Amino acid sequence: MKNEFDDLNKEYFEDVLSKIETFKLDIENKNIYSIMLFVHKLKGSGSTFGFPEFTEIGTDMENILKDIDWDKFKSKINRLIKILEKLKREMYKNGKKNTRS
Amino acid sequence: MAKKILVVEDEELNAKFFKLTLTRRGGFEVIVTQDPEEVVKLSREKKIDLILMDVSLSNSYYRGVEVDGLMVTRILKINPKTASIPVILTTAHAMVGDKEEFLKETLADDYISKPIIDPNELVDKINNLIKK
Repeated sequence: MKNEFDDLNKEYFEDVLSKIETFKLDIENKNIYSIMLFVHKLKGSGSTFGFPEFTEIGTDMENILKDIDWDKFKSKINRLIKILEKLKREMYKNGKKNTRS
Repeated sequence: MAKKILVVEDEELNAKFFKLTLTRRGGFEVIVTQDPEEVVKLSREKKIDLILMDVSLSNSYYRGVEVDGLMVTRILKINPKTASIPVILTTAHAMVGDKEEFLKETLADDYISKPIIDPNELVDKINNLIKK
């Protein structure tokens, strides 16, 4: 059943998706400030918009960034990208994601 | 008459979330801004019943000095004209001890961690502070 947050949740998801290419470039360039900002926002917003996996992975990333292990960090990014791709397929196959009751 | 909530938030989607939650679920009138000058002005001039303040404001200036939500809260709380307006800090910095430190530093009334998982909890927290 559709609720008042569905459209906003979808807008949020598309916003994260639109930023992922820039984020990947930031990783290649080791642009630490932009990376930390993206990760912090991901952690602080995912669950609000019905994506607890974003908050979980953002929290992991923030913890890894404290010691900056780039290999570990990149493996988390790959996981995030896989989650995004999977969700995108599901969302556009089944219509809008209904994540909050 | 609906209570007025001033939401200070620099992330557009978070601002939309707060506005939707507070109007639909709380029945509040909501004003959104990320400009510290406007926060102080509105707090002095309008009847604001409560402020929801993002701790990590970016590119926000007050009288030419870059400030975050903690500093803006402090400015409001040391001014007798605005000190009585309840302020709830919102932040994704959820390290142990942060809450106590932020509340002590700013004299804010309460604190809520992001992500906001339960919108009703936020509405309850606001209602409790407004009723005091």
